[in-house]
Amino acid sequence: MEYLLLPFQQPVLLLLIAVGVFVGIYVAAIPGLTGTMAVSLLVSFTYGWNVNAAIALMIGIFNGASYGGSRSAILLNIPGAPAAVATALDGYPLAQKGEAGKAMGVSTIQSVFGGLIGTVALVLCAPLISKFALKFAARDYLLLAFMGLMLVGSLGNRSIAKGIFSAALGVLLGCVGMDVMTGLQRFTFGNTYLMPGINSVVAMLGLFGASEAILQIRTKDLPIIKQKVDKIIPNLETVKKHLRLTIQSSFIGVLIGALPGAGGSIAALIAYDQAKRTVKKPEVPFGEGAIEGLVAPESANNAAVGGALIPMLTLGIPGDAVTAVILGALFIHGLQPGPTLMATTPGLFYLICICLGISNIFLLVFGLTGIKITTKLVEIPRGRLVPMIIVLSVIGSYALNKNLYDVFWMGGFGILAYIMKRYDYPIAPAVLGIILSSMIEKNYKMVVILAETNPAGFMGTFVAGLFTSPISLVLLFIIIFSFVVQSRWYKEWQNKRDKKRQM
Amino acid sequence: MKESLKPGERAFSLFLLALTLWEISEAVKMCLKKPGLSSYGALPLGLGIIMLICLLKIIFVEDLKKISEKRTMSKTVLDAIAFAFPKDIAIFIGMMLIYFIALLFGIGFMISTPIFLFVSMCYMMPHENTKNALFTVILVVAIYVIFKLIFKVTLP
Repeated sequence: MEYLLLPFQQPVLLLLIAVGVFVGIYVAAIPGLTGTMAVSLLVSFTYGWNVNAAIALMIGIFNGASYGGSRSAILLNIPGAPAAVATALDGYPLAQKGEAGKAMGVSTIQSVFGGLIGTVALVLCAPLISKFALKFAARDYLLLAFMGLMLVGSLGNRSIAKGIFSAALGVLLGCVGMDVMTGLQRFTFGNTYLMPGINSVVAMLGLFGASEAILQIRTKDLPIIKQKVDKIIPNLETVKKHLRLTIQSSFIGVLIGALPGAGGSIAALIAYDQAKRTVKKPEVPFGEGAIEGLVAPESANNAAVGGALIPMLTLGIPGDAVTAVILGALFIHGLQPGPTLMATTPGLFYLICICLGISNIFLLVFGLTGIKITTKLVEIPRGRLVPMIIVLSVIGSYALNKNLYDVFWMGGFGILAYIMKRYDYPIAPAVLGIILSSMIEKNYKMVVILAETNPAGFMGTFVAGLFTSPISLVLLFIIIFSFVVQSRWYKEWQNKRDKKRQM
Repeated sequence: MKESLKPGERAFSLFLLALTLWEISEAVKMCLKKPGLSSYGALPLGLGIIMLICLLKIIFVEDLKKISEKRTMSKTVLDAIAFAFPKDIAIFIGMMLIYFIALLFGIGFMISTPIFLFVSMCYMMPHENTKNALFTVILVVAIYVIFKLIFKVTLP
């Protein structure tokens, strides 16, 4: 518990959280730059740091970036981050009416409320889930990893086949190198560079950083829209009036955020949709500048930050792309997130909780100030931004192993991800696959070895275990359910049902 | 409304299919070397089969539902290249690769980076050479101070 006081005893941690939030806000405010990209870059620079300092900075960036995307969504109608897509629906119409300041103020206050509710959920739920997760067998971890990949591959993607292909490709990339058990080489072509496997940080820098930079070149000639923003602090009445919606949306954010692979963007969209259903008489219709249309997604996407950290810390399964990168960073620091984390390094958990809590205070401060900097930043032309991202990705990929081949791999992954994005193959499942690949392989081998040494054989242990263990059964049900709800037949049935209801 | 097939979309799916088939053949070879469910090729084989099923669905179900324009072979290739690698992107990727090669040949980060930054900025934002030069200088100095002096990061 003394870790809760650590940031106050070591002011440098407070400073790092503040810097993280500040950087997160302004990075995510620039269209094309995301929190995932910022944290990916950071991992390569902070691997030599003290783990507490690295965590403070990463959590700050994560929380700041979850909010920062709303600024360009309001000012330019371009969501700075995927989590701000729903914010643009009502934020931009408000800006067009000359109320951009009000919109930014409301989104700041709601993000802080959502963030604090997410933090409380993390503090209360994670220890319980962690204790429960100790009962998980290797089979359950294998199912859990597949569930995460299944969800991230199917949710929010236009084609479930492309999402699952991308996830499988990621796991396969994680298999490159020496097999951990036999030492035999896989897909190395006799190249010594590939023997330890593909560096996940280098892959992430290419898949998220370089690819996004290349993609941004397409929009380099778009004209810059200048905005005039004055007053930003909202009045207390507005906050009080929407408190119920804030709490409702924050709970949605925590729940959706805690689903492996779902993340803030889906949480924000679901909360927005839920607000449309529950708010009967908004002052202004949704889509035309309704304040409720800002309250719901903004409180949900920041509440999802705390939610996404729950499965990462208790099960070792990231809740979204940023937590996948943070998970990779924790591995680099020699930590093993999962059910034993609470028992072996409880301090780390409390440090993450307090860092997240404090980051919300800094979010309030930086969110209500620096409007002029935001308007200047969102106006940076892509022509200058893109080369800068490439240079930062080069520094990041080289810094880890001081190997120039890593720079080429980063570039290669960047080009591959760019082409995949052009043809609508999602990238986040591939990254999650790379991160989860070692966990999948380790648990798969444990399951198989257990089955081979058991007289009942594979069918008798693994398959029968799926139906006799309640945990396995629930996980199997979720996997099947998530597959079924994305299928054409289910969607057709749902459409028919909705039509019948309307009649 | 029916979605249109993007230029080169089918070719990219077929390219991925060829890669997947090659991956499966390699995984089969691994499984033959060390047979059994615990083989080092078992997981890659399983993943290859999942990828194959997904690609077959993409090629023979999803892509066939989309509207595809009738084009000659040469036009198909040209349209696909223009879609995936428009001129600006192809040139920028070229500049990026030259920058990486320059680093590999030991030209040095502090020499190759300002050149890459300035040249690529001037290509994407012509007529603003003075601003580009100023931005390049500010960026290189900021990188040196933040990464080299504050973070103690080894630069390439």
